[in-house]
Amino acid sequence: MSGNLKARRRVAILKTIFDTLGLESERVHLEWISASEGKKFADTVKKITEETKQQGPNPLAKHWSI
Amino acid sequence: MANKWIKHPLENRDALIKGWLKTLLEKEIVKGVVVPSLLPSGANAAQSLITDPAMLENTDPFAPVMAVSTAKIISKMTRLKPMEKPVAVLLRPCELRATIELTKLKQANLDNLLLIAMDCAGTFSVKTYTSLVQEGANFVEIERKLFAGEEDPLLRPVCQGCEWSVPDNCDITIAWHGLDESSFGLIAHTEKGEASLAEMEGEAWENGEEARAAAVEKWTNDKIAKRDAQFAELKERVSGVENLLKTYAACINCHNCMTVCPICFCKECFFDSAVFEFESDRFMDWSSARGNLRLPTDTLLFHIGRMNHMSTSCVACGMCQDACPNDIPVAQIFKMVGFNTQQRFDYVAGRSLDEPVPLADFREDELHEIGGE
Repeated sequence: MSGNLKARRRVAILKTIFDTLGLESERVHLEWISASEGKKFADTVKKITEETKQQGPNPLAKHWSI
Repeated sequence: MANKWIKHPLENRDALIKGWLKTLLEKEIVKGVVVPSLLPSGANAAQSLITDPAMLENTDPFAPVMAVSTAKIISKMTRLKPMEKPVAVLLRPCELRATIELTKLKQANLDNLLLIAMDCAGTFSVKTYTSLVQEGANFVEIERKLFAGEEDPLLRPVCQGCEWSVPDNCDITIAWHGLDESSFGLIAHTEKGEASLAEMEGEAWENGEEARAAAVEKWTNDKIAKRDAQFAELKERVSGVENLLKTYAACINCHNCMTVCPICFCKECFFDSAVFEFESDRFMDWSSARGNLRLPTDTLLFHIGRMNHMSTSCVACGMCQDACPNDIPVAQIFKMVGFNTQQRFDYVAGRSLDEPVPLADFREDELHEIGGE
């Protein structure tokens, strides 16, 4: 089973691209949560929601010309 | 490991190399030679596969232009079936590095290829090359100035800041670095290379290794400084939402950059697939969300998606930028992004056949800062 490890590489690449291009890489999240970890899932979503509220709306979202 | 160093007068370079390749064909040491030929119109030099020794007369091995990356040509010729008989291929360093990537990606096969690669000071776009030919430019003189460290604003922008002027992983190097300006060198790195050089007389290049290492180091350091200056200027110009949208405003979604990219080998690009076909309602929904929708959609997504798919194997050959009809600095952006994504995995595209490409490799104990766990 290595899909999660491969995915982590892809996320690392994506975050590096975002950092290079001046986009907000902190808006990209990766968490490994198994089907039995209900609490971890809830906590993670709460944390991401909090962070996103702090960050405000995605600055790309207001552009129609992307 | 073979290691033979010889040198020759530079003024005879074209004739000597053509003569040598001709001998290799005549003596059937190779059955074919892939080398740039001057097209009959004289307006372009394109790679061609020569099997008749007499046709070597029309070649222009050092024409400072890459119409198509030779890596793509090697892939086309060897992907379905490796060469059965030896074929010599003349390459520039970035073409060789792309060939190494394609080999690791199982899109090319090096069996029976005699890889001959040259020190490269940079190339011109086909358009610029054609006009230089019409003006009667002296290309050896241009090359001499470039190798002496002079800058040429006509050179393709990625070449101007290219630190990879020396080929690795080849059988033979046609060398410029490390000699006086009136000579060129030939170095055999493998037994296959050395055997083919048996057909070439030449003066021994004494102490070549040392002189060459020093010259290469100086050149590379100068170019790294130039590259870093380019990165800094580029980052200022393109990074951030507003700058990115300005940079890619001229994109017409033609996907030329993808088509000519030696690394983009997928038969069908994800961005041309059914995933990007939508029903009419979707367009109306997207437009309603902001009151307007740029068409065709997903311009920026295409470029960032491509970076995500293959920047770890980008060799910064610059073909994408030559193919852009609207002069978007795609290759320079790709080079900067690729430099960073490759660095993340201590990887350098085209450096070695033994390092797996980052997307085919993974480790448990890495990237903990990214998340997961």
